Amino acid sequence: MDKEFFEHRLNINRRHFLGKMAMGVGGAALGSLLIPDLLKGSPVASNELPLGIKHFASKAKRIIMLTQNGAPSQLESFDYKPKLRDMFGEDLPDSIRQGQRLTGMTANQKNFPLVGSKFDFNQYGKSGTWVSDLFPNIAKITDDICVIKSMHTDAINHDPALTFLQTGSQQGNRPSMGSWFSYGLGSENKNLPAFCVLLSKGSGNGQGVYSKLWSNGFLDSTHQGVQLSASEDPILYLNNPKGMDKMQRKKMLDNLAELNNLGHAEFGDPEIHAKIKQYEMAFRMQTAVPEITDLSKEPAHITEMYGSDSLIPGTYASNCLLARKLSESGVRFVQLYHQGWDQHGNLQRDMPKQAMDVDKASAALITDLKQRGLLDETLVIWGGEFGRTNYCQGKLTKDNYGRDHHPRAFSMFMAGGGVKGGMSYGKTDEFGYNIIENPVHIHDLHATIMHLMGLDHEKLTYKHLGRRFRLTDVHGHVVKDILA
Amino acid sequence: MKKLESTVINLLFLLHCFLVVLLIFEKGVIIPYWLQPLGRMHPLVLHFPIAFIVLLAIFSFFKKQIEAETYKNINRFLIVFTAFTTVIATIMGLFLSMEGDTTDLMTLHKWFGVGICFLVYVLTFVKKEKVFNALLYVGVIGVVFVGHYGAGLTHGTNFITEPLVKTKVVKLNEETPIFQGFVKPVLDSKCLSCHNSEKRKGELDMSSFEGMMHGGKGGKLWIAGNPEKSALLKRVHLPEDNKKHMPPQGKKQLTKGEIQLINAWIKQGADNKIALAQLPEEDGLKQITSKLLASKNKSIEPVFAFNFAKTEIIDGLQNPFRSVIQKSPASPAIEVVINGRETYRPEFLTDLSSIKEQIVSLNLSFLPVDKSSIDFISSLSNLNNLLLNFTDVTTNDLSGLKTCVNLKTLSLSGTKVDVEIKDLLKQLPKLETLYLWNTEINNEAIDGLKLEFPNVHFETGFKSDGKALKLTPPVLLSEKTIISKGDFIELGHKMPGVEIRYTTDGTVPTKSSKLFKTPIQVDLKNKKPFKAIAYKKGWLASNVKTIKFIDKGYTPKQFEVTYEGENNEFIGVASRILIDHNKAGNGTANSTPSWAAFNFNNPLNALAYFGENPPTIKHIIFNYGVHKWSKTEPLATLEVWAGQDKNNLTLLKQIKKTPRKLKGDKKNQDIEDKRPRRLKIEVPKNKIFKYYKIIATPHKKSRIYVDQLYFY
Repeated sequence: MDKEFFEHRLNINRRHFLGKMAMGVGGAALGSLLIPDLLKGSPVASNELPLGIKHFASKAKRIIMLTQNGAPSQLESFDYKPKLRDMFGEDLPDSIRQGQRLTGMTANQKNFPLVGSKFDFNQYGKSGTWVSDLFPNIAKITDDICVIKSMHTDAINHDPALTFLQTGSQQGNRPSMGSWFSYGLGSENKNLPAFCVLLSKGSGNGQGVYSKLWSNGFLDSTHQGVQLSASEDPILYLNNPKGMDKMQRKKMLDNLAELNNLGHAEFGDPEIHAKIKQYEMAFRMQTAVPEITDLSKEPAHITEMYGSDSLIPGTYASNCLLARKLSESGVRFVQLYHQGWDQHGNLQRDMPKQAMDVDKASAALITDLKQRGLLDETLVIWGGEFGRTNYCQGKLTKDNYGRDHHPRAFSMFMAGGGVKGGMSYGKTDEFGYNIIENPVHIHDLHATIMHLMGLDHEKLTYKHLGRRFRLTDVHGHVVKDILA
Repeated sequence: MKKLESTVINLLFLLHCFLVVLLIFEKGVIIPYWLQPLGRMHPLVLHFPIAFIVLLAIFSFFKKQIEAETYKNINRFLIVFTAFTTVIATIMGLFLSMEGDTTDLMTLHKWFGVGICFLVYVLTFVKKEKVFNALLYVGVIGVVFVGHYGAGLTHGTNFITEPLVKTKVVKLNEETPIFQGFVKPVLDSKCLSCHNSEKRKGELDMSSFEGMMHGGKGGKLWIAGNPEKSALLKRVHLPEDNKKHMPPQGKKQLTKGEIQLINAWIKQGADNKIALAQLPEEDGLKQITSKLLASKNKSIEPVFAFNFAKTEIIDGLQNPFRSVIQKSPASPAIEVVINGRETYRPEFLTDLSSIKEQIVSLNLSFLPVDKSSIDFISSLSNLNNLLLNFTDVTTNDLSGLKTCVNLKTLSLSGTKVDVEIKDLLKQLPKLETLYLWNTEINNEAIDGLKLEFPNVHFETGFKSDGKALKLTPPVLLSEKTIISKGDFIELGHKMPGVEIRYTTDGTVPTKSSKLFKTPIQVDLKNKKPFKAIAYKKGWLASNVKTIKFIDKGYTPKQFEVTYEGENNEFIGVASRILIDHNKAGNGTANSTPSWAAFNFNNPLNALAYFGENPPTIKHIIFNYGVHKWSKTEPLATLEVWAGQDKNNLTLLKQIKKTPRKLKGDKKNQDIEDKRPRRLKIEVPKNKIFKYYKIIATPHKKSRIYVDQLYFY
């Protein structure tokens, strides 16, 4: 037998070998012609994408959400209803109310006298978007914003409605929108948290803003929103203790990491590695954060844009400026809350003050992003948790009125990030009470925001308690009409 | 074996007779519903006869290699089996054909199929080899035709040649007939599969405009100019579960936009020739189609010619200060962002040479970017988007960018570039946007650039409307308003160049008031408030900042309470806050750590110790607040005890209060009477005590909020 093998080996000379190989290579080459991506490296199928990668290409990379907590009245901001003025004091027809439930504050009211906006409206920009006189600066940028006049929600009270807006659920045990984006897309700048929260308060009746609104829910705690404090030093405990310089700190952390690595070798707990990483990130934040949070180095015309309030830590204006700086530095989701929009009474007195607080800085933020070429990749969202009623809460007089909560129709606006500018979407009836065209539910808003960020809201899931959870739960449709 | 064969032969005869009957009485046959599934299995079963007849033909070529007896047996078995499966498939096919309308193609398929069926049956009787083979080969050719016609029925007649006949991608323009360019593609994709020249469901053929004009069983498809009465749209608008709704339930439905388009087209006159250019501007159809045209001609995502970078390479380039991001899984383009001025090193940039080709966007804002970095950037041939705002680059450094001919946006805001940048602009043909605010280039120079480069958009930043803005008031940098004699206070303002003026006599400060330069001392005996204001050229003066400085008095050496206050884990802890020199303001909410709360069962009982050499205390100030919802005076008694030994104190003074009703405006709850209030207790002259005990008891069911104790 050995002889045959030996002969066979003798027969396979170089020419044979190469000849055979040529056939094989030829066959393989022929096959490869049909696989154009073979030598290119290939795109990954979107349903098996790892986290941190968009499902599809999109313009928006970051979000700044300007939550107007307390629910600003749509009837005094963007939803112009002249008929309500004509019908001043007349009762809301039952055919319009259609049995809508009321809050405990107006449920006992005998009648519901209609009241129109005390503030005039005008059309602005090429798009002719209606904006009230309370927002003169936002009126100047209407061609950059898309006003959605047909938002609606499920909840009628502040806490559940705000929780719903932030987490897609009224109960408050789910991850916040920012946490979902941190989970789905990760951080663009690894020296900063992916999800930052900034609070400010206007002069109006303040409704609570709780940390559950920026909770990571069942997601990993690294996705939790980091609340920046309203002081000169927005991130606390970041500075080295007295008498310790940067090198000493680094050395200490290196030694600590060595000890922690010993611990990891002994117990194998992955949380130990996570901890080491957190220490390292905090160390990097020591240099990264002061560069970003120092607002005093901004050029003078930036202060002029945002208003001089932007120099006072903790104001809406300074938070807008800080939000721009954080976003510019790669923070995925900056969440602002401005409290004080809950005008149940004395609306004509209190709402102008609230509007003054936010009008200039909100418009400045959008203009500022635009002049930096960042508006295309940054999505700005402005709005409250629900709307306000078209009838007066309490006694209606010629110059005093208030409005109760109204979940059936309210207005929000978005700018940048792949949203069509200069557009009004959706319509309410002439009473401003019901939506008659293109309703957008909170779930739809979430789906659309995710779409703008390059994520499929049906695909970004997290398995918890035996089921897969989504931000939009089992609902949500992308509002394609407002995409640029 | 023989027995089985004869059984099958008999069965074959039976089945062929059945087939003949079916064919003769075709028109009268009604297939019961329970037999219909059998008919629908035709596409499944037909593969058997095809395979067997081809196998027979191939088998005949190898006769010489096979033993004669074996060949004969196998051949016999195969031909019988082929005949059997052929007749079964044919019968099933007939069942299926009786379900719906017949077309020319179907008739052809049917008769060819029946022909083959009988041919194969005849073959089972032919013994002469030459005749057998000749008939067999004819049969194989026939099968090819039948199969082809059958496939034409299921997949469409030009299914095979479709990929070869490349559909020309027509660039749509204003001259394209709207029907051809916009309406027909919709109808083709949503209707044509059932209403074509072969299938003609409902006797409707939508493969041509003539066919559409002719209409179907239900009459004309549309009435020009009257979309409401047009059958096509009526069917579309029916509820989806209605039998007459089109496209049928489960098929792909028309979208809202498509319905709008067809509606507008019919309304306009259902003309198959009219084009966009012929329509007036205000026409509804024009508005819809021009939007469609714009969106169709705009490519959604730029397509890049270069290859994907390897995932390992991208991963290897990530570091805490540098993010390397592939744009999307479908795009090889890469965006790079580098963060952190202090931590920046030139290697962060030069390390990227392995993905030079793929980088389309690079963000180096705020970094100390210089000439050497630009040298590297100049090698990025596919770069579209470069952000260099607030970096250290100069016009000279930037000249290296001339090789980046694909640049579309370039941001140079906040850099030292000057008007000479135009030399670079001449070499960047694709540049669309240039950000130039906060640079050395003035407005006139920018106007010049705009004229010279009409295709470039120059972003010159925010221009204020010239209206002066109000400054914010000065802030007290030294923070504390409760201070000791001789303490310095410091005022400040965040905006550079602001001057702060102040008064101490209660008057409003003006431009001629004292200028604040360095920290000052204030006279604590002065009862007039301290007032300050901020001025700056080009800005309106700030509001007046009014500060009331309070003397801190003497601080006890030791201070203890028997009860720390209600809910002291959330609000104030008495032993800490009562002597912390932080006064709760008028508007400070009750539920903050500035207040400690006490009730009837748990009154305030505080003991202050001033050491073995106590100071001469003249009076004690007790500060407390009333909850805004409280309707009556909450404090019942305040007692101050003093002595040299804490176990042997004497009562200095007792103040008693009745639970009188408080006045106020119910509606606003801003009750005048409910401000924080202050009680003063005089210590007898020339008496010095080491210990003071303060006991404050609220009325039953009332609560007091205490914030500060002063000893003067």
